[in-house]
Amino acid sequence: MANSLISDSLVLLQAVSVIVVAALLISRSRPFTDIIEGRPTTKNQLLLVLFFGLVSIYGSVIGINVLGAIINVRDLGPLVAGLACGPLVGLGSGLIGAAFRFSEGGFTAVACSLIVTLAGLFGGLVYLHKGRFPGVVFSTAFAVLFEIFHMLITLAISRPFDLALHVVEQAIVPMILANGAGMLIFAFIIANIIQERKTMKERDRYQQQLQIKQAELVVAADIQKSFLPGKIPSLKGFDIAATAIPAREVGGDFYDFALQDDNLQFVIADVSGKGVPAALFMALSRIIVRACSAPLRGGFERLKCANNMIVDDSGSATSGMFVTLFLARLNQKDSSLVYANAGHNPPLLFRAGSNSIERMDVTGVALGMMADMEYEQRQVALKPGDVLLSYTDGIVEAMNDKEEFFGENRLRSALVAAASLSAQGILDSVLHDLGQFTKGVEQSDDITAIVIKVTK
Amino acid sequence: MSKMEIIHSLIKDIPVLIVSGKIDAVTAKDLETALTGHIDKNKKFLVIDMEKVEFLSSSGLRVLMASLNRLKQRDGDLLLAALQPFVKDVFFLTGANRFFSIYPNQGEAINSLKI
Repeated sequence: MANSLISDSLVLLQAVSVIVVAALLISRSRPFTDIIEGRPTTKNQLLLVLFFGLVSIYGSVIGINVLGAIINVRDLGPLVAGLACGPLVGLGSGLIGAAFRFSEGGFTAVACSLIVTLAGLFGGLVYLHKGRFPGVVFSTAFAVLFEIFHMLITLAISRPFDLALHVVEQAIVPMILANGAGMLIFAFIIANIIQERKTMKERDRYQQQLQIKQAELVVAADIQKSFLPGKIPSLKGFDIAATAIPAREVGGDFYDFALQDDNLQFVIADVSGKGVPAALFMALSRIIVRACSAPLRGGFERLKCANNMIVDDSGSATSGMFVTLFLARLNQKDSSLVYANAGHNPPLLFRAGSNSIERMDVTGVALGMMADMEYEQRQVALKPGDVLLSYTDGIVEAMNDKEEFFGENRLRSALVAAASLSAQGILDSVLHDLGQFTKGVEQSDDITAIVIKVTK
Repeated sequence: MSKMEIIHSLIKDIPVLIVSGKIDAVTAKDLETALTGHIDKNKKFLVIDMEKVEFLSSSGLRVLMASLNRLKQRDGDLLLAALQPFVKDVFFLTGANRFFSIYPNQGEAINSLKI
């Protein structure tokens, strides 16, 4: 008895293995995943009815004949069909299994045919009730209970009763074991697929959002580029070059030129932080500074107006955002440079006569930090051959792979070495030196520079 | 890559944040979370010990400014202690040093509060 129990169970488990392989194949197929995702088409449902019907037939064929009754895994296919695909597929495959079992005959034929039909139907009703596949634990428990139910029905309907009782004694353990194990594996596969599809959907949605954001950033970058002067104005006696390289799509650095009669006014600025917040703050600051510093006459005390407007209108007190800025005006006639420096990295002025460098030091606080700040104006006289290099901290705070900064000293050396070149040549040379220093380390901050060389 | 660490302590009921490493665009967010955590708990005074801060970017300074402004609104203050040369430069260059109370070390910062 014990031996036959074990061997019967083994035969059934072998059958289950075959079914599981089939399950793996079908579970990856389009009809199945479509139904799992709630897109049942008639064609898909028919295909699955056929598949699970065949699984049920196989469960009968592989069964072990005990006194004219068959110990089997016939119920498994329709159970799964019902639980995973709903009552239609469940009932359909159950009927196929039933038709086959009925044709085989034997004294339990009626009971078994009825039960395999009910397997599909009950599974489907559970699906309907839950609105989805009920999960691994529930499905397995359901299969075990259903096999107990199967045995009770067999006892109730099949006659003679003694024979039925004997068959049930022989069959109950292997059938619960095999159907339970089969359902466990099946359910596990299905649950996995459902989880996988969910993850895939989330990933797709995430990627889509990312694409939209990326597209928006491209537009934002274009808009921001349009803020920069398209063409650098030419001023007789001066050679001018400028560049702005954001670390990301958009950045917080900007520069601007305004030419009026003999005066060229320019500004270089750096908003705290980077990316989109910096870009928004940059757009606001740029317009305010532009408005406050026109017309190109009078002193740069007017930065006070720009500072107050930024503090009032940008919410900089809450965000802590600020913008450092160097504002200067170059006079073509007397080569004088008046400037104010609001907390910006001091521009370097290379003096050709003495081959030395002067700094255009800070004359006031960065804009946006606090209202009612004063901005002092200073003036220097430029001589032929002098070079003014204005830059943002993205240059001096650029790091190499040893986490060393490029720093002001290296920048000074780069400027001195290139001072005899044209403005564009100096700019290219400085950026080249910077590139040699950082060597492949990703640019982490916006880099902006303006080079003005006195040629006359 | 960029690393920053914050050790929280409480001295005479004043939160003291001992920050070490680099305060850049990435780590500034962690500093902001730490600071707003204390500010949201209605603390009036905070001390940041910056002896081991080797780098402060403008993103980091922004976070400090934002916290300072919130504390000042409730008559509190953000006290900074032991600024290293590079960090000091950032404060003096931008002019932010005018708004912060800066002390040579943690002890003096706490004593200045006379609580």
